[in-house]
Amino acid sequence: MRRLWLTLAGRELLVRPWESALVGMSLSALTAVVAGTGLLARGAEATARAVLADGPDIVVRRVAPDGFRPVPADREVAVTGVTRAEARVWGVVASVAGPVTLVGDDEVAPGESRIGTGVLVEDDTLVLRGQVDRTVRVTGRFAEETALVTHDLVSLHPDDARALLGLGPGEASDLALWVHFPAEADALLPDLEAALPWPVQATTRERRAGLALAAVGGRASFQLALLLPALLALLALGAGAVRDRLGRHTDLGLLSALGWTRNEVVRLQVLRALLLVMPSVTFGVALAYSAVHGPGGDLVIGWLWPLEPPLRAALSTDGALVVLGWTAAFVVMPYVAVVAAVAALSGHQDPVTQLEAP
Amino acid sequence: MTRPLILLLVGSAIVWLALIVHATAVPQTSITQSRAAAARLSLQRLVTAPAGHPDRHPELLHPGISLERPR
Repeated sequence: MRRLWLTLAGRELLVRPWESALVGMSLSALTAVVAGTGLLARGAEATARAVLADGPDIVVRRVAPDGFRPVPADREVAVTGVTRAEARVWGVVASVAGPVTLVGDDEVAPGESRIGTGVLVEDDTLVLRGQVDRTVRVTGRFAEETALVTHDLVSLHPDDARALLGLGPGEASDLALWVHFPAEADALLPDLEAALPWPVQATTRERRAGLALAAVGGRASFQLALLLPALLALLALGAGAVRDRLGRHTDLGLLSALGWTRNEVVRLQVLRALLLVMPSVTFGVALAYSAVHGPGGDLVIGWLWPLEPPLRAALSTDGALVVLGWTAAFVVMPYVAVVAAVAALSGHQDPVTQLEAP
Repeated sequence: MTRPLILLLVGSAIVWLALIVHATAVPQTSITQSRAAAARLSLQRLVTAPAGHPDRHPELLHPGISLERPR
């Protein structure tokens, strides 16, 4: 019996094969656009949160009216809830190919450097221009897989980094703090400001993740901008389905005259719609997934964001299945509901009237 | 007539299965290694602009350093 229903629904589709194919492709395209947007946004968010998860919970910088001021590297932070404090030496300096982010690293010997994949050098020599000019030898490179955080990084011995940044001995750029309850880091900010003898600017990890997301693409507005036309497209497809069904009064009238009940007519049309929409949606989500997380990632993300190649294929897939599931439901349910509603309404009419309809 | 339809449905199921396996089982080396690097260097940031972009980390510019200044 199930086989018979499947055969009938398939026949319904294949009566007008080109029309079915066009509707299927439209559904695939709609699904791909909606799923692709969701995957990009979700991937960026999950990536930011995952990568920053083990970094400092709070970064504290000393501020003055004309900018940032160095902090004493041996400064202790006596605030309840702070479990560890570390003075960091870092900042931005110019190199031949543009600005790079400098980091003081005890593991690097004086006069040497370790660079990220985005830092261009000639003959393993790097010329840096900060408060002083310094030429260092490149003795190591960060792995390409770490490009999410090290792409423009140059790590130097802390003394070299201090000289370039204009810091004195025993001075640091800022303080990185780890706290007992990271989720409540915001609550510690007033205590930190009160405990330190100078005005400070504190950035929590949550805020830093938010800044990263904002830089990546204006997530909410971007999603909405693509979702609205997608909704309009879905409504247009639904309207097309309504017009299509109304134009086939003869088919419905024939079925009714043969003794089909309204429920059976509805069932046939819903099955027909599912046979069309399920493969179409599957193709659409597969297209979106491969474009964001698969081989097409470089092309699509590179077009949307001006990021460097190592960064492009690195978005986290956490939550991707949720996005795909929601997208499938977003497309399948309204489409099937419209088809079912139209079939149910048409079933009310007299078979003779339907058969005589032009 | 039912065979192609059944194949289409089975194919869809296989595609969904492949998506589930890829999204959950494939190790994300770059995320793991970037996380470790950020922890070791005490970094609290993601690289979000191409190298040489003038808007890169403007808030992190150290006082007295101007990237525009010709040397």
